[in-house]
Amino acid sequence: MRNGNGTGVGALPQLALRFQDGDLEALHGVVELYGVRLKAFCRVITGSAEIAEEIVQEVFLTAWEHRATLRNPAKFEAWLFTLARNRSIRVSQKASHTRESSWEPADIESLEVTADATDARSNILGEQSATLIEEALGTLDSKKRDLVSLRYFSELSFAEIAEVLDMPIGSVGTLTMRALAKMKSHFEKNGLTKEDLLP
Amino acid sequence: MMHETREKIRELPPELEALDDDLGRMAREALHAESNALPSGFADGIVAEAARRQLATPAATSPAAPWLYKLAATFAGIAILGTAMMLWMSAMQPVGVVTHTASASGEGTRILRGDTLHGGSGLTAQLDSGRVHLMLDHDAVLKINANDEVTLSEGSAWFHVRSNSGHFAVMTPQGEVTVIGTSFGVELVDAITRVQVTRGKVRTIFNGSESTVSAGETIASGSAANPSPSSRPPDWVTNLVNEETQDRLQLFFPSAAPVE
Repeated sequence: MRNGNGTGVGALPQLALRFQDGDLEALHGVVELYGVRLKAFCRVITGSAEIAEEIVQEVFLTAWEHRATLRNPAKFEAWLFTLARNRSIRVSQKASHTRESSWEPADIESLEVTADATDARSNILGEQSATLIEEALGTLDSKKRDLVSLRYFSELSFAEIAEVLDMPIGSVGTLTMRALAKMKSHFEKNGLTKEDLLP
Repeated sequence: MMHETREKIRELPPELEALDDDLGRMAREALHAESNALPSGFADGIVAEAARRQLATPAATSPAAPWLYKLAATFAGIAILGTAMMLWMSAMQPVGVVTHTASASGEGTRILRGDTLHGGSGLTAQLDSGRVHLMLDHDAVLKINANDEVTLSEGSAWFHVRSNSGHFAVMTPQGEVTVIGTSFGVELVDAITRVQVTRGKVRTIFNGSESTVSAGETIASGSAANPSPSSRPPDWVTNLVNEETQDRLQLFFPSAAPVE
């Protein structure tokens, strides 16, 4: 995955080291590389793109200020997602937006407005995908929801996901399988076929 | 690419494996949704804010790891404990010994920091392993601050300090008398400190005025005219010295005649 500045995931270890050294350019590269994925992840937890954006901003600044506490640069991505998850959960709890079993897309109106406002097909597909995936994730309990979000919005390994979620690594595969089964059931229940999911 | 790096789930049924791939593709598309996009200049704004905070609180940019704080706290605790033990041991370490009193039972008494010696019927003592010999008149009150500093608050006392053996000072209400390798007497009478030097030199500071007093000279605080020096030991000193201890008298008064 590459961004517009040419900062690739493959360059992460070096980028993380530069970030740790206090290189502001590295901070810029990290924001470009992870900003959108963190926002998507936080949005799933908080149910709000706007709140997710604020959280992502604070996550980057917190990570920057506490960069010396990162002992293993190889775990940089896991560290960022852990910060993002913790902050999202705190914000959600504070706002009483717990969506364990009664999740509703908070941004559905803004999504529609955005979709109407642009002719770019990729954006429309993106919005549809975002909506559908968030709806499906909303049927899961918080641990499975976060697990699946990390699986698709980050590039973390099972071991890293287990670390972020503070669960045994052996549980990651099993819980993901159960989550997929539940999401499949949700799509079928709503009459959504593969063509609907990926037109 | 995400779908290439994502770990495969073992023994995943084919229909769920297909859904897993589909969800991966949907997630990638969702990342391109405008609602997931970050505003233009988002990264620049964060960098600017980080730079601003860095300037405001430079110490916060590189906090030590929590384990480092714990380690530092442990070492600090050990250091404080060690220092406290050393101070306690130092306080309990004798700095001198009483060598003569009117009652023989007082002789050999160990002198600790903070002890106050009263001349009584006359007393002699050594401080700092014999580096300092002192004699107290019956009315003398001398506090041992350390092995190199005493405070004479009343009466008269004589001191002999081994030459070139380092610092020794006698504090009085009027000032201080600092040794430069010498024998000297300090007498407190009517709020005046009188110093007589029989060997070497001492430096005195009385009421902020510093003077150097050499052997054979005398100086008094608060007095324009210094008293004439005496070559003879005061009577109380003579009375304090007997045949067994007259060698000490020679320390204080080189010209003193042996006791008959």
